[in-house]
Amino acid sequence: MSVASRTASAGSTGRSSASRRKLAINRLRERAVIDDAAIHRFLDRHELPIVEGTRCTFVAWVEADAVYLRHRVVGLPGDLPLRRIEGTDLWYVVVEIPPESRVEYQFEIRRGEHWERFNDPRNPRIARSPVGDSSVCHGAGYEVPDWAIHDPDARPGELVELEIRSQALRRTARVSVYLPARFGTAAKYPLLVVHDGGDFLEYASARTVLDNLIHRLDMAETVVAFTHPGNRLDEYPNSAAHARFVTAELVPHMETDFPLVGHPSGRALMGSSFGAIASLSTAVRSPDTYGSLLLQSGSFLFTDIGAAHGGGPAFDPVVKFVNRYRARPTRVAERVFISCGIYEPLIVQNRSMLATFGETGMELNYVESRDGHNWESWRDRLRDGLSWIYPGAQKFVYE
Amino acid sequence: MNVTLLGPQRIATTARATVREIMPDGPIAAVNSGWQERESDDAELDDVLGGRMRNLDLHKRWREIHDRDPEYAAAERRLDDLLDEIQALYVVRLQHAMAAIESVRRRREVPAVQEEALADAVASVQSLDQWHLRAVRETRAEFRAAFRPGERPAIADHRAEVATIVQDCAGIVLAGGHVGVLLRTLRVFDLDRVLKAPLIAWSAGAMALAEQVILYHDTAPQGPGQAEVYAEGLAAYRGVLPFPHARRRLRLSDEGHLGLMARRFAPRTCLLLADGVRVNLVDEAPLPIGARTLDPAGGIATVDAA
Repeated sequence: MSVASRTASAGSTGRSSASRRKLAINRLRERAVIDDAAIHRFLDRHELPIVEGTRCTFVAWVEADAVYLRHRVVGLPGDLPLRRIEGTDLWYVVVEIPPESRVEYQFEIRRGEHWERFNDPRNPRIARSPVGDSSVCHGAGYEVPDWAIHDPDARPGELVELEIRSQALRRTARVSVYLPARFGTAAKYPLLVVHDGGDFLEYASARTVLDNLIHRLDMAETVVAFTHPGNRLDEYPNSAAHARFVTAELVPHMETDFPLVGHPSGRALMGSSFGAIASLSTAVRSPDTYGSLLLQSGSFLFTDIGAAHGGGPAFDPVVKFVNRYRARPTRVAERVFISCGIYEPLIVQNRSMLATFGETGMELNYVESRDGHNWESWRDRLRDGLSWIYPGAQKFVYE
Repeated sequence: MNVTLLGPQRIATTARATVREIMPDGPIAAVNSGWQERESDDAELDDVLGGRMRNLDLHKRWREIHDRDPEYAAAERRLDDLLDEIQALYVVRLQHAMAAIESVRRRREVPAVQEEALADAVASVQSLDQWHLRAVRETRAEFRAAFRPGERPAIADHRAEVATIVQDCAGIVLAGGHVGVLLRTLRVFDLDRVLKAPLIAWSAGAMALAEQVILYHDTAPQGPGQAEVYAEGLAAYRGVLPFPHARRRLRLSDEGHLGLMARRFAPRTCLLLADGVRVNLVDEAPLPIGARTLDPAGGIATVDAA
């Protein structure tokens, strides 16, 4: 087994001099008078949440009977109540957040019997997703990668919309095809098939990331098929029809219509969460077709004994598939890139799968990050994964 | 052949003064095909060459050949596929061979035994490097025998034009860029037959003129890769392998790593070409004083008067 493993962007874990100072919220609390004007000044002076070393102060100025910090960070208490500063409507909670972390959160308030949930109105950082927006706390040292931000020097690729009549899926499948900036028919390109392609484009800046990574020679010029699922809960958890669509319809269609490498080394499947299951189960059904898999926060739920997996009915076919694969793991690609956030519930399952994949002799590259199960976490690991499965020409270029 | 190698020209521009000193008069043939489609974006290079540049336009000519001779273009693409596969298999084998070396390096219980095992492991990697070079050489030779590039009008015409331009020039300058593309265009236009001193080269240009082209990048985004013996160069100078951008691309703090590279590429000397560096190579003469090289004992050595 060959495993490369690391934690992404691990920084210093020592407390900064800022964290040795009295926290800003405590300095406010010590004031003799905390009136609205003082609160206004306090809120205007600080970026919220207030990050002081590893301690992050979440603050809400709201009339309520109770305020909670809602998050999905495994390890933190599920209900994180905020404390009210006496005589005010200012609520706060201080949470230890390790460096380089990224945490999505919301506030939930109770007024009498009425509950309301909302983003932090004083935090401009918002993460978008198909299930709604969240506020984002950037722990000390975390920065949005520069390769995920629009670079005017990077020549943009083109998105071409395709519709493929799929017999396997019994529907017309929509595919958004990314062609790199200097795309030409004389060259041959590797192919990457992305599950939940629309969401990767919409919420993980996939187009910008591809433009930048290709421009910087971090990643090879690649044709990317962003697929759009029908009902992903039917199509993604080990569906034979979906696998047939990808392998027997989509890939041949792409290899006919575009100048692609056409060998396993030039074919890769990618997906996050259920999309990772779809990628793996598709490759399991065609073990000689794909050279690489890029699996982010795979929903690798399994049971060692009994049937209780805690994932709900949607996960039943996933658990059945993963249990079967774990019992008899097979080599389904040459190389597998796996990433997972250490704050997400699936971290244990993803770590467990390393040994399973390793048994097959597939080359593994595993990266963890201090993040959760969300699109920006998957965006932030794209360079690690894409530059590994399809490395760019950097090793050839000496200016 | 006397060749002047320079460090990368992006940050410290030493080319202007060197050109003025070594090629004081006359037109200068320039090769910047490593810049690929930016080849014609050469006003700055012309300025560095004192407005005396005669760009050989090798990349543009190569593209013209592909347009004029589709059969050759298709054959070259098949050759590329074959060479890519040879390189991919070489890298697979290399990763395992280098991992073995690292394991041997870590086990120091009986130093004498370890040293012998390490020497043998290094020899294995050298043998693998030679396999790759040989496979590439033979594949290219078969391609040349089958498609006879020199006899194809589209290529022969350009070769003749290039040779004439070079003949009329006071010297040749090779810039950096994509070393694979640079090397390809140098071969297609038979530059090794027309090369003449004085020659000034930097970065990829310096690499292409060496006996062997070594690719290396310890800090690539996909993680550190192993240095690869990519291909034979034009061998305009011998006994030295240039490593431009060493500060940005090599783990210079890892003395053992550097020592291992020096041993692997021995008997050739690994010459560091940092920004601003200038090294004059004179036929078979030793490296000039001040040149910095990888030390087989570990770390970096500087050539001194002794």
